[in-house]
Amino acid sequence: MTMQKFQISIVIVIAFFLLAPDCVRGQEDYYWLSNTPPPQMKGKFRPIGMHKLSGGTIGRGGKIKIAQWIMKGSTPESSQYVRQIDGFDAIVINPVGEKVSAEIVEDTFGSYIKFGVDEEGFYNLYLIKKEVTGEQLVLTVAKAEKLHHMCRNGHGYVKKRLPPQTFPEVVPLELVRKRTKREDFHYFVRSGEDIEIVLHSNEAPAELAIGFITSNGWSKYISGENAVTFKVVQDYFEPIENFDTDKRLPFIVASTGVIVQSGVFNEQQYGKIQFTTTWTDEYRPSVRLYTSKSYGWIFFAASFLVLSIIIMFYRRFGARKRRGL
Amino acid sequence: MGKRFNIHNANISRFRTIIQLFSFIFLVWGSYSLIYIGSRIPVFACPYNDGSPGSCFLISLQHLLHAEWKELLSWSGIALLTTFLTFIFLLIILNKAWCGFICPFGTLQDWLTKLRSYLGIRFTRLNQREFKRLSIIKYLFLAFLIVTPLLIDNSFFGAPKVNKDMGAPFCQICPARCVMPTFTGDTSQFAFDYTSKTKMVMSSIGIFFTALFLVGSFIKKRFFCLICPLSSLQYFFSRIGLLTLRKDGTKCTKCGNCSRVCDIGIKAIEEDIIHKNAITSNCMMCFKCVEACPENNALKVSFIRIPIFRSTPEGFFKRYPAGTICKKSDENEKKS
Repeated sequence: MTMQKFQISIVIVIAFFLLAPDCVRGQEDYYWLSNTPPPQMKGKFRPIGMHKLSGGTIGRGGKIKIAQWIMKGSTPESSQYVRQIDGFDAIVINPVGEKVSAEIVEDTFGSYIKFGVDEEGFYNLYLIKKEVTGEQLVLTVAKAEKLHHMCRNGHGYVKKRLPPQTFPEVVPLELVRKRTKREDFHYFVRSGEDIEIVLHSNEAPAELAIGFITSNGWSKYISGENAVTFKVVQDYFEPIENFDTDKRLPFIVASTGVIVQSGVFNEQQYGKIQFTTTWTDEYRPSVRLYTSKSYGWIFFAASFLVLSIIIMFYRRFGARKRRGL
Repeated sequence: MGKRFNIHNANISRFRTIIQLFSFIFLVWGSYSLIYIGSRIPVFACPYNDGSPGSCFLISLQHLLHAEWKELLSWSGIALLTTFLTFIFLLIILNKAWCGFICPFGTLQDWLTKLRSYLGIRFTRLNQREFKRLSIIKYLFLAFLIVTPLLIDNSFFGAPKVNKDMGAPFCQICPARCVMPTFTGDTSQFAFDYTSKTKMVMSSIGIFFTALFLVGSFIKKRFFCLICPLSSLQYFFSRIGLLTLRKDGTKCTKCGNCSRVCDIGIKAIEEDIIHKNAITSNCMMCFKCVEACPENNALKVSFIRIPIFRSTPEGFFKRYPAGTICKKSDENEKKS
């Protein structure tokens, strides 16, 4: 590489970091919703249903309450539980599209959104904050789609309640994960899979970047497109003896951008909307990491062969023996 | 004037083949038509198969039993109860004909039998001692699938709990789990699971049983039905079924046609002339015995006590014009 090319490369890299929005550098702190309670509160909550939502029941056979924790940070690993939360509204919509009663509970170890579940399917959770600073409306939306399912409740609703729901009247823009072809209520996001994310907004953004951030901070951002596909990357490795197929690690999908739209909010005028919205979920290790089809097929073929030979010998010699030959 | 059609002289096996074909198509690929028929189906509508429009009762039962006592004795217990009642309701309607007419896994075995017959390979008839020994296995499987999920969350008399990897234990070793998804192009169930020793052992047993199922079905008609726990569970409620198979011992000449045509190889249908109820724990209500019986009214199929199919000499000679039920396969057996 010549000196000139090297200098040009350096200039491009510096320009990229200086000119790119914060989100592209992965340095922005996001609000996002986590399913993991703070370590100090683990005893108070237990995993509910197949998707192990953090929660508990009130009374014997009582209504199930779910708690989703409010986090702030640039990556799931570095994020902190938010203790005090001001100016945010929590909205929860159940699988049949009805608003359910939800409250933000502030706790010394971490604040959480608490709501009751009585329907099977995806609950849309929104933590929304709007404020006007300068001439822009700053919109922050932390969203999670939480699937509540217990096999004992049956599977009759699956097909109806699987497609994602959007609520433009509740939230002006939101990220949505498109469902996969083979998805049902038993589906988990696993490493190595592609997830398709779409930003639904009432107005098309003038600037837009959507990023995927893994638990330990690996990230990828795509600019200018409202429908993107990310491969879920497993960013941890551990010895096979510690391997846990149920290990769940959070990831964040974040979008930031600007919508050129004027309006009035709280009697304050604004000329554009600066938005930051997140959508979070958890992923599990890929099935391929702990299963082997090739060994399975070899074992199957060997079993088939051995059993066939045993039966052949049984028929030939067993029959002779019975006949006294 | 043409002859009047008499249902009792009809070929019920042909009708059964058609029903089996449609049931197989529906229960293997039905979900692609966005139909869902529930999770209490008393046949092997395997939920591991993406195309299945419902799921086998056994997986629901195992799931529901995977709970602590306090859960089972609270509102969650109602789910178990309703699941069981739905299963019984479905059984009351068709009784064990679910096995003979609807079960896709049974149909698959029938097709394997046809393939064996086509290839000229003789089948095996078990003697009564072997038959009885094999029949016990299904009750052991039933106990295994009921008790194991309970032991995962509950300790009996201070004994250690069972590993949680034993969830839905019968499904882990059921050959249907490996076989049925292959019809929708999914062979992922033929995989070794290295997660834990328990998973590794269970997945190995599952693959071994699949091989056993295929080899067994090829040499013994309806091999898996002999050891099927669903069949044993159905038998407990077969007495309250609306569909019945009854025998009039006074009309029986003990010719042995009924037991000779029986795919399972039930001897009692021939030997027992005392009991009226001809349904045994291994019976799948295919009604081949009724077809092969040459005695008038000796065997009778009724629905809510209304006879719908019964043995007649005319029917027998129509189905077996030579007056014998000796089949090609039997001839092959004799030759060999």
